[in-house]
Amino acid sequence: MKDILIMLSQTTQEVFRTMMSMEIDIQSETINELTDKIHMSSMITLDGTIKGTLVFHCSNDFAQKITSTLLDDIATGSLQEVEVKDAVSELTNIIAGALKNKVSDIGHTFSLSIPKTLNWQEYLNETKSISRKNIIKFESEEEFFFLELLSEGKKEFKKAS
Amino acid sequence: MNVMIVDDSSVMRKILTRTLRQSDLEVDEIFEASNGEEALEQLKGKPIELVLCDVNMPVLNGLEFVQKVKNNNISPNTKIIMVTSEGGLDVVNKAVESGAKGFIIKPFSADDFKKKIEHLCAA
Repeated sequence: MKDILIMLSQTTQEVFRTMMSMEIDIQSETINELTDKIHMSSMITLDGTIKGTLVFHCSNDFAQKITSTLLDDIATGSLQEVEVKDAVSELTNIIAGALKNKVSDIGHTFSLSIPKTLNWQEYLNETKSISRKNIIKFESEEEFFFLELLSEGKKEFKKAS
Repeated sequence: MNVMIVDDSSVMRKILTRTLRQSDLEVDEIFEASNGEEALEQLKGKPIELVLCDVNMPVLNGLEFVQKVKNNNISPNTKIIMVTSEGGLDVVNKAVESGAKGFIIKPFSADDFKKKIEHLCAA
């Protein structure tokens, strides 16, 4: 599990650096709580030799920043909510795809779902019975975001046998 | 040349549009489709020289789109380049076997994308 999280951290940093020229720092790995303000959560399921759900959590401000950077658009105030959700979904998709490529080097393979982005309350309702584990906290210019690996169902995240 | 961008993400379509316009390619019109089905319809009715196509899309995915284009001999001179976050060799190989010219894997920087596109278009 730890090796997957390390790969996920590295992958995420590479995605931000390549697509948005943003340097992000890993604040902490494998924390058990989602702290700080989260407004949006984007989910993508992994199904294969690794089974689970990858979730990208961030604030509205950070989501706007991501969207603005991806679109090379300075006027963040003009961004539509649907555009912001789409940008966060796409970023999650790219991170998951890059992780898929990385773990294939150690023999893993999985398919990806189409990402789904929810607001924080919707996400909590969908996952309320799952205990939080496998969360990585990242920082970028005083903003935070999180990546979470959820298990399939309500079990601990694990590799399929 | 006319280009069609096929991706269910409107943000990705905008990113690709912007990057194309900034490249050295002589791009005239850029059409958009949000899935393979829409893309097929546009390809049948419009002169399109280049298609940039995502893989994971609803309704008709990128691989299915390429296969249908080949099997139905639709616009045979159009170059199709897959733009995907999934670099899994099986999917990419199938697309290339089905007639795609090549692929570009996300994440990509604008410079990398331009170089790759220009190289694939020149080939």
